[in-house]
Amino acid sequence: MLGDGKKILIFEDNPTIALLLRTFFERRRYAVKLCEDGTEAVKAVREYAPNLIIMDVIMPGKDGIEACTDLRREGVRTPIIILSSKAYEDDKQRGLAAGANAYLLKPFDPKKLEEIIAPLLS
Amino acid sequence: MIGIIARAQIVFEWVLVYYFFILNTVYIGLSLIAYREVYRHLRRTTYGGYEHVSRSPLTPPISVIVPAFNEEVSIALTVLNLLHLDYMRYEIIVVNDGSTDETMARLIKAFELEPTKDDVDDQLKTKPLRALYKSRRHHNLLVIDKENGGKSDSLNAGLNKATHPYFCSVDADVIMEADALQRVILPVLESEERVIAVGGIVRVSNGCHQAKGRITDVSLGSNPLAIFQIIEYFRAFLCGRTGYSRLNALLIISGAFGLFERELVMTIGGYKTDTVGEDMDLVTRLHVYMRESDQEDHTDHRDYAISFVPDPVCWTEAPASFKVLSRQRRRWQKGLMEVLWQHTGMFFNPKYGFIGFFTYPFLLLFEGWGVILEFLGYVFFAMAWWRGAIETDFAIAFMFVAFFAGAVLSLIGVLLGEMTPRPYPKASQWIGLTLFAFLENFGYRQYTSVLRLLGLFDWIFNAGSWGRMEREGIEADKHMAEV
Amino acid sequence: MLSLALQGHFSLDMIVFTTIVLFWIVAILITYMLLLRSYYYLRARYMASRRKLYEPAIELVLLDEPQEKVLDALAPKRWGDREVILRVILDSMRHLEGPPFDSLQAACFKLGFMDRALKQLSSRNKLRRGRAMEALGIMRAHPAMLAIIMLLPKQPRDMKLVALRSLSLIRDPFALPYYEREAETLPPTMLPRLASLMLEFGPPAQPFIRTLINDRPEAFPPRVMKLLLQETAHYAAL
Repeated sequence: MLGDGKKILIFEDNPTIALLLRTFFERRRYAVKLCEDGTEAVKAVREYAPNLIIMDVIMPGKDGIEACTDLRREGVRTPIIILSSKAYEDDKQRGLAAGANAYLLKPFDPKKLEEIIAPLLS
Repeated sequence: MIGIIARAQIVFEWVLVYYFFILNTVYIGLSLIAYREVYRHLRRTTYGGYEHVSRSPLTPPISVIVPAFNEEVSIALTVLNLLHLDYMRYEIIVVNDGSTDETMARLIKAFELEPTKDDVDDQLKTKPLRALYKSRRHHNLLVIDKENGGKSDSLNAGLNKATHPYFCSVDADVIMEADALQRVILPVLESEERVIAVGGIVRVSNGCHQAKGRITDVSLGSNPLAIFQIIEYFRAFLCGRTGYSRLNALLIISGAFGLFERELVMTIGGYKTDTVGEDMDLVTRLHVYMRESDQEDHTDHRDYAISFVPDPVCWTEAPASFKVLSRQRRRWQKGLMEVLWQHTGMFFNPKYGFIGFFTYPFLLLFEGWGVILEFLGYVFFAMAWWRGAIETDFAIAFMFVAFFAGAVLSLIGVLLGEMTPRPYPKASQWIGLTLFAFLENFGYRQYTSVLRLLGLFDWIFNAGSWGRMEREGIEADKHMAEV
Repeated sequence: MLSLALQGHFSLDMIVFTTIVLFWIVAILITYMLLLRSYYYLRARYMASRRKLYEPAIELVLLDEPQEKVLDALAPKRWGDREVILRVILDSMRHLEGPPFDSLQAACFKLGFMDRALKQLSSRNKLRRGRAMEALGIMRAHPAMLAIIMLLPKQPRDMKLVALRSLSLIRDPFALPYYEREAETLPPTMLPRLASLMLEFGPPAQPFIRTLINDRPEAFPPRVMKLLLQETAHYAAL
């Protein structure tokens, strides 16, 4: 199951995780773009037109849930996966309420992530 | 007659010399304790377990209370910064203290506030509330609009609406480190005693670059007045407070940032509204409550701690002009005296341990009344020298001692600042700091000592309350200020 | 006459002496800072340059390359690189699960990182011991579990927490009775932390947490108690 150049936009401010995600997807022939925070989310999505968005919850400036709300409000329908280390039900509910398609806990298994992505991209 | 004057002079000289000697010995002693503490703390944090703190559902949620009066320049940025802290669960309560500027309007616009109601009975008495707002965008933001009543009154209003077991008081012009709450909650979770309050290092933000509500580049800036204060803050927080806290004798947690047990603070009546030193007053009354209450309910409250973490937790804008600095320092000194004078019972009171035998007397005699001696010392020395009563080489030698003693203390402060997270990255900045640690002894120190003397007079003659610090406004990218 | 006291009792010699002492302290402080700074700076630069050599190995792991290739890429190229390699591995392991994690765990074992950390557990140096415990926890080094449990009673309290944290990362329920044992020695303020570590074990921890909150209810504030009761409700229903 390879990416065939499908585009993924990743919002993540932790460099280690960003690097892990990027490597994993790039090597599976996805095109990846990294953003450090969600302040320019709408603009970035408009410019890059990704097939999928992955967002960390905690970021400076604008967090994943806010950015997700913004995107949906702007009519962006790209699937969004929220990535979080908070094992908190509240957060998950808010993420899904904001219009995310899936909520994934860190630490994450890249394989699982790919499995979640597959139906969203098809 | 002349004999009496001569004798008085001799006594005065002795007092002066001992004052100088004890003051510096105590400072150097505290610095050594602090060095050890900082070193141990840093080693410990390499396997700190912060990840678990930020993940566990049992980590206590925190209410962050931000009193704001005429803060239109910085309020939106401050709240934006607070909304993006790395912490499991917290709420932000902004209290608009009857601002006469655009503070409230900016908040409403930036965070899409809408009026709300609650049916909570307010436990602490405050000035009447005008309205409550919650944000449409952020589930954990509450804004209280109330009539003007001062900083303490605002904090109390915030306390009334707070729902979490711990609260953190934060100044409205402060930029917090993303992991600040994790850092200060750790002593609560891992101490053998009940930790009722925690402080952290407050750093000077002047000259630093910030983006998206966080400090991105640590830098000195070009205002010498601010650089002197950078060194002063390092000395006060790292040498002083770290040292005191090791002895569980910390009497001050900065109003700019402090974590407290909420219920306990409510029990002792919240913040006191008739003092300008409300931050120190609260910590002092917590000590009093914990040490005095054990007879009443027959439980032993003495196993408690008021801690200090030598990690940078927030950045504050230091006064950049003499006028504002002067007002701030006079207010601090007045606040110090007000609080100390109300708790004279601590003076050499065995119940208070190190506080009674060390912190309190030291603060009262040296930091409080001591400024008179310090000032007279300068005058006396100058006069004596001028009249030729002191040999020139003796005077020079004595000044060298004073100069080097001051430099040693400042350098230890700079050293500890270098060791803790977020140091000044460039070699030139370190050289600048070192240089200013010397320069400080020529003028700046004397200047602040005069200000403290004036503050002491303000307290003695109970001059009117002091106006608020005028802000220059945070230099940030415009875009974010608009949100 | 004026400065009789000063000049009589504090002789010029003494003041000169103090000045010289203070001067040397200042000089030493400045030199120390200078050395400290340069040391940190050079070390950080060296480490960063060495790191670059080993980071590609993580790519191999994410690509499901065969284990031999990963091991080759992670084998120390120069004396002193072990510390760097371990950091690279642990930094990635922290954020990973599943096959990539398993692959890195196997690498830790085969390259001797696990053994080295195990040896360091008995070090007298607290820092080294703490780091070893942390590393073993992140690696979820099962073979280290017994060693850490054996160490527990002898540790000071802060180290106990480090040990218990790494056991909770290894996550073998076998360790749970030892949490119970430690609970008896810990002051009440530390018990909520202990319970939160036990929660990491999932369902097997439930009976132990129940026992803990029944035995020492005073140690748990109402909010924590409520949460713990919720988390262990499943067990209570049985």
